[in-house]
Amino acid sequence: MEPVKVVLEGVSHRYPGARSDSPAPVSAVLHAGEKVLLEGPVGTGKTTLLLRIAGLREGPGRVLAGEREVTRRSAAEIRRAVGFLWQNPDDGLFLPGVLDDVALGPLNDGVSPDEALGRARLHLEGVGVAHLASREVTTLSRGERQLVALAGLLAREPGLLLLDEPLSALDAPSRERVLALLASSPATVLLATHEGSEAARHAGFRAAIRLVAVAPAHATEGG
Amino acid sequence: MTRPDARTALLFGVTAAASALTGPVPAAGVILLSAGLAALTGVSWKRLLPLAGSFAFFLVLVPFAPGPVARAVLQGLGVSLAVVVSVSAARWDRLVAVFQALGAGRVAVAFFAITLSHLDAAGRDARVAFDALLLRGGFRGARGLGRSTSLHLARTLRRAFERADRTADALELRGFAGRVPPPPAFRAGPADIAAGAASLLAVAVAVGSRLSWSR
Repeated sequence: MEPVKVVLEGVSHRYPGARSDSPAPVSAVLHAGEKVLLEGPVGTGKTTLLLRIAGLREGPGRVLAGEREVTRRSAAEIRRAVGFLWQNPDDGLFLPGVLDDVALGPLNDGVSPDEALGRARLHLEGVGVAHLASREVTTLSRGERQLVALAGLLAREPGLLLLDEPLSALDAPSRERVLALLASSPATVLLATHEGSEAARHAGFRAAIRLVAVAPAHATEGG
Repeated sequence: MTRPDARTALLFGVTAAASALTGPVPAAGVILLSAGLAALTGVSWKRLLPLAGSFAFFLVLVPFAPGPVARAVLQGLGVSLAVVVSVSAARWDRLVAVFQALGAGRVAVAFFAITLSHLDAAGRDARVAFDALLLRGGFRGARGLGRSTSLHLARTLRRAFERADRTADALELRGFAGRVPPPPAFRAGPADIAAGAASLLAVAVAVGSRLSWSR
């Protein structure tokens, strides 16, 4: 799928009962195919910003994905191009078998079962866990589940990857492999992290969005 | 020995449970066969102990029961063991595939698959919550036990609801439209042969027992 350009215009969110926005208004441009870091301390709204871009939360400001504004009405169509990795990989894994779970996305996009399973094997190999294909998800470690969840996203070949702390449970070799894979992907990548930023910069990511925890919180765009 | 395919395990579960219902001798045979299959396929005894324990409790009460209930208890134990062993021995991922192969609709298959995963994750959450409470001094004394139990239940339920919300969001993000991969091709391994043989034996004992009664 073609990489997706994302434009954020004053995007913010305030949870019920909170005294400040999380995130505070963010304006930024992610050019098609760009690899961008989303940085900030815990509680500054990194996950919420990713959910806003995916159209799963509503609030002030505008999100444009490609040429379209992300709204409730357009979200379903835009999500076809989005791969979202949850901070807790369990949230994104549905089927008991590893290979079946990775094939789930392509299968539901209308690909034939054989091709979906073929793509699943390919992407499991890509993230370095081809040996887990016949395992059950419940028997995997957290890091292994994170890699399987990532393979599940990549198998849909999305144009925009929104990744919430994808490196948190990985050892150093797996981190390097994943970062190299993401850096070489044609998709636009927004990687939220408070760990592994240095390694990500080495892999070619630029720190474009930094969320800052001050009252009221504010965000800056840098590079 | 590896675990049997869900289809073979299902065959054993159905035939053994049906055999156990035909009389006390087949039920005793099914209990032995289930125990043997559990040992061969590595089903944890911890999983079977609560079941055996509850039936042991029934057996203690048998002499005080007003009617001839020993036969019913034995048959009940046979059926329960057959079902628990067949489900525990089977690979869960294949179980979903079998459900689909049996002709269940897309929505039902998806619901079953997602429920399995959700239950597993909820179980993990419950264990973590229990350990966390223990490490923070919970479950001490009668008062502490009650308070910790209610805290544990509340946290587990809250996590389950939060997880359900995230599951719904994640399903949308993965473009889920109710399709799951088809069941893999069946290849009989040693565990499948053992489960198949146990099914045949269960049927043979039931038929033999019936024939000897009719003479």
